[in-house]
Amino acid sequence: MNAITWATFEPLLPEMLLVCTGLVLIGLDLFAEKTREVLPWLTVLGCVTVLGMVLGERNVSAFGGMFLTDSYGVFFKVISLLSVIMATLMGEHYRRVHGLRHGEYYALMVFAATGMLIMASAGDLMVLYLGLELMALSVYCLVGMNKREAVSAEAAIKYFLMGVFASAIMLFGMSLVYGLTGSTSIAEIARFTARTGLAENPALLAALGLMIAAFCFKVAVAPFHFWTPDVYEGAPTMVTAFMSVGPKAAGFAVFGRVLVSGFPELQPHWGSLLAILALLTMAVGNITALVQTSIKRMLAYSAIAHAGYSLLGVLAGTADGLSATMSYLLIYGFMNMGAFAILVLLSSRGAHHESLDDYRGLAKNHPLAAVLMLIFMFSLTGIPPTAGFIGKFYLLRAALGAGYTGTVIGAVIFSAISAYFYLRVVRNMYMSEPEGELDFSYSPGISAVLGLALLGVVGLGLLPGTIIGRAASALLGQ
Amino acid sequence: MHAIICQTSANPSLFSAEGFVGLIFLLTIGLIITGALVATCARRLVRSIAGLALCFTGVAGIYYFLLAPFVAMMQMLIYVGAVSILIAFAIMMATPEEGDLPSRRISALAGPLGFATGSLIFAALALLGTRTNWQVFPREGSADMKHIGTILLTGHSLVFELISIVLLIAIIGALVLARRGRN
Repeated sequence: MNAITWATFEPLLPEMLLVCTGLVLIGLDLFAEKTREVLPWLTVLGCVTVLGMVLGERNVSAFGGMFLTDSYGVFFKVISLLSVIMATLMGEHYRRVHGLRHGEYYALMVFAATGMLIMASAGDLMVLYLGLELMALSVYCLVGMNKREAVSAEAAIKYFLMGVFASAIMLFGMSLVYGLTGSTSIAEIARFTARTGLAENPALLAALGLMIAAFCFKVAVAPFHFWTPDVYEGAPTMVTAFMSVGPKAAGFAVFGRVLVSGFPELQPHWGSLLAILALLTMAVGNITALVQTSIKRMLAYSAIAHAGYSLLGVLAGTADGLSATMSYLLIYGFMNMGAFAILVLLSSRGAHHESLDDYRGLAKNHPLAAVLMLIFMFSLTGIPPTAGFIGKFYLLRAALGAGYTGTVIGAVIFSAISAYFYLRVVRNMYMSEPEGELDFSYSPGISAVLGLALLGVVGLGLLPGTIIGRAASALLGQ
Repeated sequence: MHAIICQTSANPSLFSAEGFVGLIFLLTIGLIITGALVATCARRLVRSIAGLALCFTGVAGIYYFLLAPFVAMMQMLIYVGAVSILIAFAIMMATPEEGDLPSRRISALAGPLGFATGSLIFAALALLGTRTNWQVFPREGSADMKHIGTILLTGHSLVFELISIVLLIAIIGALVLARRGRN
């Protein structure tokens, strides 16, 4: 029982600053109506400051190993904060076009970010669960922001019900693990399992199975993906963009941390289970996306497919595999945010313009938007000069190195299939005649998102890919 | 009481100490199951809440059997005394339309499939529970209030602070969703 001093809380400073930012945002929204214009910029300022602090974090283990600021966590924190920054900037545009005046949007976004940061750093199942709930509660509310729209409310209630069910299943698994090992610390669980030869205990396998099912739900892996299309389609577009990047990355952070550092002895079991799930997820995501006529729904299925690709690195269970998943999630964040930003850009008051037909002939009237969409679609497909290719390459290499040849072959086939629906958007933009006139303008917020996403997709693609790979492996080795 | 539970022989008489404790344990379990059934099956919200309160009371009993009387007391105070009552107030204020809930068309397969899945999960967990050789860990400290308070403010202070933030978000979220829009 050590005394609690300020020094104890020092590793938590970024998270504490984020909570303070959220409270200031709520206060300003309530008491200073005139300042609403600056709320998004204030959010961005807070997130960028926290990003700087996170990048400067030293590798410490605080609260008796409950909170770890290791490089693995830092990498996921960077992805989460980038997703919040980009979603906030999209919100700025959305507010101009649709007259959205919800100050709480930014506050909830910041609280969700706090939850994701805590998930990335969690070294204990209790902290992990609380971080997850912190994030999930904020996201449930964000999904239901547009109270006037029935689809938004339906999406929120669906997501909430399924989400609490998954949380309950996860808690059940965690309580079984605690009952078997006598500890909630992830490192202690691994030590105990190795010391007592608990690895072959069926109860431990069942507990792990329950936890994997819940994690799969959180990152939308089949067969736990049924909520995804409806929720992604019903939520306001910038919330969908945020959900498909930030919370998914945080979900993979705990997925990797629990499996690789908590249950390394069980890798043969969960490795082959995840290989099957990954294959199923890629199949469901890519094949269902083929028949979608709404781009938003297509991107929802594409998000499912990409969760399948990202699993390839986790199932390998090696440092190489995890670093491949980490860099892929960063790249995916940039390209997916970019694609959703185009969706937000094209939407106007009263009409969302999310159907595939709305993109006919876009290149004629709005060449810049069309070129950007083309780059993001190429990257999502995984076509070489873009970052999407590099990311997929490392994932496939890692899974191949771990001996999952069948899964890798499947991934390549489904990747080829995905070219059909991504490139259909490009075909509509460049090879069809425009049907109606789309009217939109670039606000500072949306321009910043598009610039950032372009920089990420092209920059990470043109830089020798090994830089990301090496950086991530070095990070893990620290 | 711990000693009594541990020494339970195969077939204790109902009038012996362990037999009586066993009977109370079964009653507690019965309370939970009945409460849960009422909460899910009742067609009126008020009855569901009564079932929920019943279920919470049973859970408090389980905590007592697990030698955590403080947690049992908190369960009664917070869940039975506060949460259920709050839900009841919320229903009274919202004045929902009384009468039967609208019946929905559900596929004929849903019932049997759900029942089969549920039974399968139940059977698997029951097998695991009875077949596994559960190791009993030595107790750490006592379960009294002073010990719990010390732990919450020292080793588990991060968890304690996080819970308060989660509650804050829950309040903000409820306000955001329930209040009328400003637009």
